[in-house]
Amino acid sequence: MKNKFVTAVMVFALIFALCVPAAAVSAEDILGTYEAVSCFIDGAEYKCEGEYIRLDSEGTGSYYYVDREYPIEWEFDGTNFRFTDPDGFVFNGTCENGVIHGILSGKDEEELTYELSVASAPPAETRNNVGGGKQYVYDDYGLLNEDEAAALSAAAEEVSKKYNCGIYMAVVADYQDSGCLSLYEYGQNYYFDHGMGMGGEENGQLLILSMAERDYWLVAHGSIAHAAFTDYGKERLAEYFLDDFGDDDWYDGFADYVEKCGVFLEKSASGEPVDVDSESSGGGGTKFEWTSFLMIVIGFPVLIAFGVCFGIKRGMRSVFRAGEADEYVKPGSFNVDRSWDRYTHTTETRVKIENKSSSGSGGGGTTVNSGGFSGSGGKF
Amino acid sequence: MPSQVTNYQCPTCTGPLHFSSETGRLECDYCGASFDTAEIEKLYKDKDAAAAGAKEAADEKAARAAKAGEAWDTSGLDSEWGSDAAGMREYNCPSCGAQLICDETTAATSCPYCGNPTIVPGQFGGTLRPDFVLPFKMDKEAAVAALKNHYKGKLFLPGSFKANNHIEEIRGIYVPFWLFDGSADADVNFKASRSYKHREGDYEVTTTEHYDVFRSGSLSFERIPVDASTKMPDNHMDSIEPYDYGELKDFSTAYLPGYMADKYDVSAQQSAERADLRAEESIVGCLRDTVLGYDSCLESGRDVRLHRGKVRYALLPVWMLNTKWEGKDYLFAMNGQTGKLVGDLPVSKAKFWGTFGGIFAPLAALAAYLYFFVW
Repeated sequence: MKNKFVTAVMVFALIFALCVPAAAVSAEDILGTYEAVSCFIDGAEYKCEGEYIRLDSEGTGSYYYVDREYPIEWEFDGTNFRFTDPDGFVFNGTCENGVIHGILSGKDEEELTYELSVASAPPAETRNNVGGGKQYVYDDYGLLNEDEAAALSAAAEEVSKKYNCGIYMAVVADYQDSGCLSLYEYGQNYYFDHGMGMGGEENGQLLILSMAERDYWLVAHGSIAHAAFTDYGKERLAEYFLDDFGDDDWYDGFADYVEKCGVFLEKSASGEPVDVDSESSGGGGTKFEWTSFLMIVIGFPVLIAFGVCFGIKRGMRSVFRAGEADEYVKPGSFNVDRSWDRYTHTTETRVKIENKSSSGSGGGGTTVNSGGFSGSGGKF
Repeated sequence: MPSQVTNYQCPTCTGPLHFSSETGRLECDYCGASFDTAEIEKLYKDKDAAAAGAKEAADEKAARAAKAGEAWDTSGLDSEWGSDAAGMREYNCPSCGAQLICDETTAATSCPYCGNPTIVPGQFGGTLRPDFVLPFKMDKEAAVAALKNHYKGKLFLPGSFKANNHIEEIRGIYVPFWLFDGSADADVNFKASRSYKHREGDYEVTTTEHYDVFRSGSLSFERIPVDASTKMPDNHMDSIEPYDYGELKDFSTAYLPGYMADKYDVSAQQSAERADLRAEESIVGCLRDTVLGYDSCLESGRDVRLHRGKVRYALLPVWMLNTKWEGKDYLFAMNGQTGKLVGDLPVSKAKFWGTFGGIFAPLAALAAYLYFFVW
């Protein structure tokens, strides 16, 4: 009997020993913030500062990378840990004893190790960036004083948070120093390099000025920005700040830009973005294009009517002076005695093909490039 | 009421001017214009001086060309009429100065150019005998029908012009022409180019290849016509060309009855410049037509050598139709052989602007609709 009891205790002890660890580590148990401590790509180690995984509640959380937050969905079965983000990144690994280790598959395959942070949230600096870039005004050229930059930043932050679409401003001395072929290309790099955009789609619009060329460009990213700032809308938006910039009135120009971005975002949110259709039907409420109106409705009909009338009038004349004597050439008398065609040189002209985003098209909508950006620009 | 006949023509409408003893001015019975006598005398003095200068220049040029052996050959022209002279009559118009010849059976009633009814018989003679004559094939009815046909489809023709238009005079005239034979050699240089387009990234690249092109050739001409009458507008005569020279006949007074013939008053030397110019443009044009395969071709230099040949004198048939409308003369000329009729027509301002409005209004309405509702 005693032996049976001992055997039973040992069996229960064994079952307990086997069952307790699994039951003890549940999804709830691993909630918290994990900070990346190592990162290897193809065997080479890379710095991994500012990378975190925050598991807020079962199945949901965020992934932080270069001061940006990406929402994730995660699964944990007691040992294996997996998350996915909206951009298609997938992490597969394990979570044991406060350490998450595994492979992040996306553009590259990264072998990452995260450790449970002492604090239960990302550092304050990163936390401030949740929901968007930490900065709205990047004045590398020094056009604005501190008060002006602060005022613009506050106004931009208000608009950005209200519509979940970052409104950014940047001034650089000469974008060509970067080696970029266009300010549009430079602006796209600038947008990503400075962690701009809000939400998973990194919604936002950057107005960037390059002072050496006096070029400006509006660079938008994300579906909210593309919807609000159509190709046509960008051109209309530019009209509000270009007159100020033309007078070197930088603060007012940027202030108008932020204010009108709010108007454009509001119109888009209400289902009536500023676009060609809304303008032509009077729904946009922005400037009526008298020049194109007069050209199309008056100019072309006048030209056509005059062309037809002068053609008919010319038919009233039948008396002309003869300039040659072709009718009196003796048949078969024409001979070419000598002839040569000598090549002398070649010339080449190049004309830039204006794309829809920079020249304004007849149709509406937004032209988005393969990088997910739309843009419009010119001189100020 | 005119009280004295003069030889002056109205500068406005070319009608005869009459001195009015009541106003002391020269007045036109046709268009009603009046002029100061001194003004008209000065005008004629200037015209005579200009004509004399032009003749002198032409003669000088002809003399230089003759000296260089490059003059037109007028040696075949013959002033000997023989027994034909007996049957010919000459008339002078005191109004426009026209000198007209016809055969003795033709009733010469009025000047075919200015309509002056008081043409004066003169002494026949002092004129060259034509080498050729091209007989009339079209009659007066054909001329009237051609004029009516000329009005057809002319949208801007004033209604009153057609309705009130009574042809004042229809006259068949043998117009004197010089016919120039010759040939031309030419060396012509051209600058030609052809272009190709292709795309390189965001740029459209146009590559243009440039060539120097040279052509040298020769061409012969037969009977380039230049009208030899100052009364006949040159442009009208150019515009009724061409004539079919296959039907040219050796001159005979047998073709003249019923028609007046104008005596030439522009010499072959004076007319040669126009023949030269037309021959030169034709040889250059023919050589230009051999430059093929290029997108553009511009002449950069020419050296044309004309080999001037025989000059013949011919009478070619022309129907002249005159009418007046709102004080202005309208002259129509019809090729008496082919029936080709030319003449500028007046334009009704009301019809012009009405048509303009009729085209503009619906187009503007359509454009406005497209602007606001479609685009």
